[in-house]
Amino acid sequence: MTAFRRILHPTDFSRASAPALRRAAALARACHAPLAVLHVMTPPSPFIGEDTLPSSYAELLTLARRSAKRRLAAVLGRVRRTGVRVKAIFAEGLPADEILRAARRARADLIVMGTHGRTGVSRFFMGSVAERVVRESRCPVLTVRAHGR
Amino acid sequence: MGAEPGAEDIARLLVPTDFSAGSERAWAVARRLAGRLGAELVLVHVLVEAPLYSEGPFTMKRARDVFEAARGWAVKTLGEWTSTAAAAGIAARWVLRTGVPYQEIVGAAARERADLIVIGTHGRGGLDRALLGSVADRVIRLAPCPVVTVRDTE
Repeated sequence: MTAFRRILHPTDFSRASAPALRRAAALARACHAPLAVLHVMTPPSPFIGEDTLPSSYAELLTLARRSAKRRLAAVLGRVRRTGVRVKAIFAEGLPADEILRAARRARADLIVMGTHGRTGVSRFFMGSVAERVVRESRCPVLTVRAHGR
Repeated sequence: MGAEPGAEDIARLLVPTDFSAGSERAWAVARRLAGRLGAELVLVHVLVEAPLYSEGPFTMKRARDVFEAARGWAVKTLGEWTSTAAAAGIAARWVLRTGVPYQEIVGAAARERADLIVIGTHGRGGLDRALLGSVADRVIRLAPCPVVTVRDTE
């Protein structure tokens, strides 16, 4: 009996993502399913004032991309060592949009994500990204709280 | 990957049901997952008692009759759903509670020491998409374990 065939784990590299990553990897192993680890980078708006584009903006963006991809590769390496088939997806844009898009494209049948990333304050707030993904995802979503469970 | 519990430690799945299409999909997902993980399923339904008991003896009797009929139907349906899992060789049992659904679900997850909750949501598009389903929403926020949400529409 196949439970899940393709699992997607979006990460923002925060502590809140870590328990979700471990769950995702363990489920991928148990289901013999490949795991896709997605990071969505939200580029800062270059428009600071009246059409002023800092000359260093392109350079900053390149550095940010490089750094994000390096961190994603490090996550992949850790998962791969546990014997799970894993690939990286890198996207730029609004996290919830890109997570939903990546899930459709990869035909994921499970999304495993932390319930609050960097903006979470208490257990009563799910985190706006997770909340939108839970509402709009066509496939099941496993939400893993960062603390306390 | 650290010492955090993984799929290997998922021994019990709690599946709340209101017998809707969304819960039925959640039950199907839970059955597949339990089959793969060798986990036990606990199906839980929460009856909401009709608040009519101060309307005099006649109404009270009628309200009780309605409530008992609802309870009887729930028991029968829980049994039927549970047997679909048992027929596939998956250990399954049901629990019937009375009260406020999200509180009873979170309480049952703690009492049963569930490792995972699998719950259906009312995933509507357009204007209604703000309505995740207040039960699922609260369960996600307050559950003692991770929660899998399953939308009722494909």
